[in-house]
Amino acid sequence: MNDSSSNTPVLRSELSHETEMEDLIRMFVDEIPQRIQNFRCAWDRGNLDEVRRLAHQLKGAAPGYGFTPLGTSAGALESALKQADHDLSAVRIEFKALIQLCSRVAY
Amino acid sequence: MLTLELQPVLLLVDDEPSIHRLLAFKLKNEGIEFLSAFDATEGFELAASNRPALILLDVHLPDRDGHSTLIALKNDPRTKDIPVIMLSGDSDSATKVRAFELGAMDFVTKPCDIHELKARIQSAIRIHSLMQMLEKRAQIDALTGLWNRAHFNERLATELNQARRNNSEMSLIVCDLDHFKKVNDTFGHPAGDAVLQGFAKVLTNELRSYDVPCRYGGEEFAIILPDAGLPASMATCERIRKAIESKRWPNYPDIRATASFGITDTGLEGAGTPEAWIAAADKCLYDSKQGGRNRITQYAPPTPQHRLSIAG
Repeated sequence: MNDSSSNTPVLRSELSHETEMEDLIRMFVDEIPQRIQNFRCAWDRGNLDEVRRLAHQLKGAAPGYGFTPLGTSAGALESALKQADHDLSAVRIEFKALIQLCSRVAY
Repeated sequence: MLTLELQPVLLLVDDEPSIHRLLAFKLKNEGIEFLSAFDATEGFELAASNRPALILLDVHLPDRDGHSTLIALKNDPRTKDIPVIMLSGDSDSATKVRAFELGAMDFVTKPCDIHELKARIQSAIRIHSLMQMLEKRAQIDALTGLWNRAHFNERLATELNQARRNNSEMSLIVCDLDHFKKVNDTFGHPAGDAVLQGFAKVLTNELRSYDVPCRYGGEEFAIILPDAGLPASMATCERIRKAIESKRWPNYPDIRATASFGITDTGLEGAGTPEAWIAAADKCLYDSKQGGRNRITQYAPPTPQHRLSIAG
C-alpha cells in the first residue's frame, strides 16, 4: 500500500518475514496514524514535554517491531528537544522528518 | 503450609502499550504469567496485591518517575523483596548507577534485544526463587519440617499484632513429649528422631492449614492458632494428645509416646507481650507435667482469693 500523498517509498518492518509476528506488526502499523495525530496535537498546543514523551515511547517501541529508522528518528527528535533552549529550528526539522517517516510506514 | 506451584508472574510497568504486546508475545512460551501496568500508581498497586516474581519498571512514567517508584517499592514491606529490572531509553551511566543505588537488580536500555531481555528476566526470576528458598529453609527445622524457633519468635509477634488489630481470637499451645530422654536412652537416637518426626506428622494432620506448628527446641513444640479461642484450641489439643498417645511405631513396637500441653488465649491474656504469652503457656505446661503428664492445662487468670493473698 503506497502513501498516495507522496512518492516516497513505503517503510516496511525488517521483521515482516517473521510470520508469527504478523499480527503484532500489523497492529503497530495500524496505530501509526493515531501516533501522528498525537504528535501533531501536542505540537500544535506547544506542549513540547508531551512531544518529547511521545518521541521517547516511539524510540523504545519501534525497533522491537522492526522499524529501526523510525526509532532512530524518534531518538533524534528526543535529543533535539533535550538540547533545545529557545531556538526550536533543529527540533522543527527532526519533528518534520519523524512525521514524514511515520507517514511512510506500511505493512 | 499450603503452597501452590504457580507460574512466576512478571509485572511490566511502562506507558507504551506496544511494548506490552511485544513482550507478552515474546514471553508466551517461557512459562511466565504477564501482568501489565501503564503508570506508576497502577504498577505499585498491582505489585503490592499480586506480589510478582519480577517487576520491569520504565524510568519514564506519566504520573511519577521510575526512580521514585523504585524507592516506594523498596520501602513497602509487601514489595521490597521483589526484584526490579529498570528499563530506560537513556543509557547514561548516572541513570543506571542511580537505579542500582536505589535497589534495582538490573538495568536494560531500550530498545533492547529481546533474547537478551528474556535471558535477563529468567536470570532475575531464578535468583529471586533461590533467595526465597534460602529464606524459607533458614526458618524450617531440618528434622521435622516444621517451622523453627526463629520463625516462631517472629511469627508470634506478627500474629499477636494482627489479632489485636482485627480484634480476633488467637491461641498458643506449647507442648513437650513426655519422658523423651528415656526413649533416646532405651531405644537409641534414631528412635528418638522417629518419635519427633511422628509427632510433627500428628501436628500437621490435626491442625488447620493456617495454624503455625513450630519445633521450639529439643522435644518442645509451640503452635500458634490464629482465629481460635480456648474451646476450639482445647478440642484441637485433645485430638493431638489422643493421636500421639494411640500412635504405634512400626520399627519400635515397644514405644508409647505421650505429650503434655499448656494453652493460653487472647481472652485471658489479651494485653500480653509475646514473652508473657510464652510464659503463661509454659506455666500451664509445667502444671501438666507436675499433674502426671499426658494432659492439657489451660491458662487461668489469678483467682480473686489469689489476688487477695498477694495484696494481703
